[in-house]
Order: sequence, then structure tokens, then C-alpha cells
Amino acid sequence: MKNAEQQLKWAREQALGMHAGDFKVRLQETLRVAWKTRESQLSHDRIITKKPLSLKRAFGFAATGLLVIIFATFSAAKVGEVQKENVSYLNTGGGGGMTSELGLYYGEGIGLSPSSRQREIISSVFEPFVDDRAYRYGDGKQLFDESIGYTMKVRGESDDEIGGIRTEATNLGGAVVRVQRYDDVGEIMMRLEMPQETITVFEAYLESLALDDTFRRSDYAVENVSQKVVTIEKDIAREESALKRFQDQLARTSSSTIRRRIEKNIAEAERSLKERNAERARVIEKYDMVKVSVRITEKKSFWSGAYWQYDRETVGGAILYQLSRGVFMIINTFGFIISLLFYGMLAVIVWKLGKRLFGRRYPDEL
Amino acid sequence: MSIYHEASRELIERAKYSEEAFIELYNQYVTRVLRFLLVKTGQREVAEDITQETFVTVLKKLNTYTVRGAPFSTWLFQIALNHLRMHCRTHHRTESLYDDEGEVVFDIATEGGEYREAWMDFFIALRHLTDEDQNLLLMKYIDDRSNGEIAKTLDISTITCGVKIHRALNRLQRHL
Repeated sequence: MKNAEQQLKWAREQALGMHAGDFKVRLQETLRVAWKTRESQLSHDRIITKKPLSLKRAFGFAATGLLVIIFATFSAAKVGEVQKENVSYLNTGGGGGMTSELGLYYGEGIGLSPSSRQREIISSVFEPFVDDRAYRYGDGKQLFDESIGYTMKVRGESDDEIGGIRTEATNLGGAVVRVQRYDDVGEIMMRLEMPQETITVFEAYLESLALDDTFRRSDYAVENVSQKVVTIEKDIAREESALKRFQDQLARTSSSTIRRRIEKNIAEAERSLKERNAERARVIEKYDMVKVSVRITEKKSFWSGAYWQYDRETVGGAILYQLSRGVFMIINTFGFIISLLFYGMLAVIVWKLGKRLFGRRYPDEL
Repeated sequence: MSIYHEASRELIERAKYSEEAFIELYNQYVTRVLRFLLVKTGQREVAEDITQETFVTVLKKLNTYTVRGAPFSTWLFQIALNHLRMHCRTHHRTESLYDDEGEVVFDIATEGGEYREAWMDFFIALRHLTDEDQNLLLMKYIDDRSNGEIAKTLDISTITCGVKIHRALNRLQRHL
């Protein structure tokens, strides 16, 4: 049997001896002709494409530039509404008032004319602007009337809800003290004051708002002044009881040292009682209204991505919060991607058109 | 060590824009390519056709070739093997070893004179191998190339190339 390697080496030796005949010469001539043809074609291409070459690049640049501009535009755009701070102020109409840093004028409520144009302070950022000085509109007396025009920007149907609450509060002898508006989340926090005997009527009105599915009421709270007094009176009772114990101890003790200490405690308790009683009188005198606060939130569809409307404290709310947040991200990302794809396609079309019109062409065959 | 000299980088670069340099490059490699294809196909006409197609392609594509360290023959033989595959695909590689008149289609064997029988045995044994095995053995022994150069041509690792050559030899041995 032959050895494969030796066979191959033999084949190589034989192949080295094989002549190519005139094939090499023929092929050489063929290649020379092909070379010349190629050269003439290249020269032709250079002449034609010299000038449009820059146009081709211009098309490419335009397509690229278009994409860059689109990117820059989208980067600069803000998702959601950008609100300017809209600060309103109280016109006292007759006496002076203090000016706050925000240019606010506020009075103590006395002497205010019902026809005065009065507006609420609006906070336009997510976190509410809080400045207690600005909201002391005179002890909760009637501060607003229905002739007031709104200066705050409201969205959608919330305008009616706010107006309705204002009207109802005013009709009941109360007033809207503060409106904190969270524009981006469609939420309004209102604080009102009204006579406590009217609170039942006001609650019934707020219940009627629940019939409208567009809005949700939450964080409804009533601070009853009488409750405050009750708390103070409980403290007073506790301190009176402590005072009586000290007095009984004093009566039973003969030791001068211990008596001095007990007398000291009695003096302190009596002083505290006096302060608490004075506070009680002050509270009763100052407040003859209840403070009401209510949060009105515009309900939004789950598919709008308004994740902030869900309460994360509950299990269901937490799940909806996360899901809705995903929707929010999709909406804000997907829309951008769709637009990007659209403009990208446009840029590619421009590029290809330019390439087709001015691109270099080579012959298929030599 | 290979008996062939590879073209210098300077010649290759000149050949891109100089007709004479290109012809010089052609003359340096045409015999190798033709010889390889002659032994591979066993048919002169086919070998010459594929050789012509190979160099025409080289003429068209030389501007795209960049000298990167591998010898020019690596690229050249890749083109030759591609044309060979296209030719086999077009002309149905699995045709009989004999033509309609009962003659073996290896005209190289006919040209071999006194070695006709030896050539016949060789071609028949070679035909039992796969295309890849044939290419490996012919590049190794006919074109006298190193395992590394063959590996680059076939885009495989050098170690794999060595193993495959060894196995191809064993397979060829079984048919001899």
C-alpha cells in the first residue's frame, strides 16, 4: 500500500513539472485589457462624482444633523407641565398691611370689604409652599366672596369643584383660607374655616362630590375647637388632681424638710393650673370656627400613568402604584422612541435618496 | 519551509495603481494557483477557468485588500477556493468519474504519460475525501504551505488545522 504522504509529495513533484502552456500569456493579456477598462471607468467616475461627492456628504450630514437636532429637542423638552409660580395677594382696601417676601399683603381680617379682590396663594411645585404668615387672613372671618375671579390656573374639571367648595363654604359663613395646588398631580389641598354648627351641612355637600367619579376626596379633617378645649380641660383636671394629692400630703406631714418640698410642688402645680386655665379662655375666645381641610384629587385612568394617585400604604394601592409607574415610564419612553424611529426613518430616506442621486457607480463586469 | 516567496508589501501596494506591478504580482502567483487547481480538479480546462476568474476578482478587489501580516497567498487562495466552490455548485460536483464514452475525466492523468496509472489512483483516492480534506492536503503538500497559513486561509485555528490534516492523511491512506 502506498504511503499517503509520499503520494502527495510525488504529486507535488509531478505538478511542479507541469507546464502552463500559453495559458499564462493569454490570461496576462486578458488582465491587461481588464486593467485598462477598469482605469477608464474609474476616471469617468471621478469626473462625475467629484462635485456631487460633497453633496453626498451634505446629504449625510443633513441626515445626521437632523438626528442630532431631534435628540437635542427631546432632551430639552420636559415631560409634564412647567408651572410658573403664581403668587396671589390680598388687597386690604384700606389700612396697610405687612408685606412678605412674596409681595403679600395681609391684614387681620377686620375692615375687609366683601367686594375686595382677594386671591389665594398658589403653590406650583410638587411640594407645597408653606408660609404660615401668609395665611393669617384675620381669624377665619369671611374673607372671600363670589365676585372674586380666580387667578390660579386650574385644569380640567377641578375648576368647578374648587368653585363649588368655595361657594358652599361662603354660603355657610365660612371661608377658604388656603389652597395648595399640585398642578402636576391634579391635586388640590384646601383649608377652610366655618362655624362649627354648619359642619354637618358642609360634610353632606362634600359627600355629594363623591358621586362624581372624576374626583376623589381624601384627608378630610375637621379640627373642632371644642375638642381643643376638651383636651385643655382634661389637662386641667389632671393637674387639679395632682394638686389635691400634694395638699393632702402636706396635711399629713410634720417633717419640715418634706413639707418644704411638698409646698414647692404645690406652688408649681398651681402655677401650671393658672396657665392652663388662661389658655382655655384664650382658645375659646379666639376660635369660634372649626378648621376644615380636604384634599381633592382628580382621578386619572390607570393607563394615563398617574401613579401618584395610588396609596402605597395599602397592599392593593402599592401594587397599583408600581404598575401605574411602569405605565408612566412606558408612556414617556415609548412615545420618545416612536418619535425617534420616525425621524430616524426620515433621515435614512434622505440619506438613501442622496446616495442614489449622487452615488458613485461601478460597472458590474469589466 | 515553503519553496515559494510571498509578494512584498510594496509590490502589493504598487499593484493597486500600477498595471506593470499588477502583472508582476500575477506572474508571481499564477503558477501556484493553476497547479493547485490542476491537482484539485484534475481537469486543465476547469483549472484554467477558475484561475482566470480568480485573478479577475483579484484585479477588481485589490484596492480593498490590506496587508495585515498574513501572506498575500492566503487571500488569493480564499478567492480561488470560493470560485472553485461556485464552479462545483454550478457543474454538479458529484458527476461520475467517467464520461459518456467511459473515459476517466481526469485529463491530467492523461497528460501524466507513464505516470497515468499513478495519477489515476491518486485522483480516485483523493475523490473519496471531502472537499475540506482535499483542500487541506493539497495546500499542505502541493502548495507547500505551513499549517498556520492554511489555517488562516480556511479560517480555522492552527491546532485544528494540524489535527484535520493528520486525519485527512489517514483517510487518504485508507483509499490508496
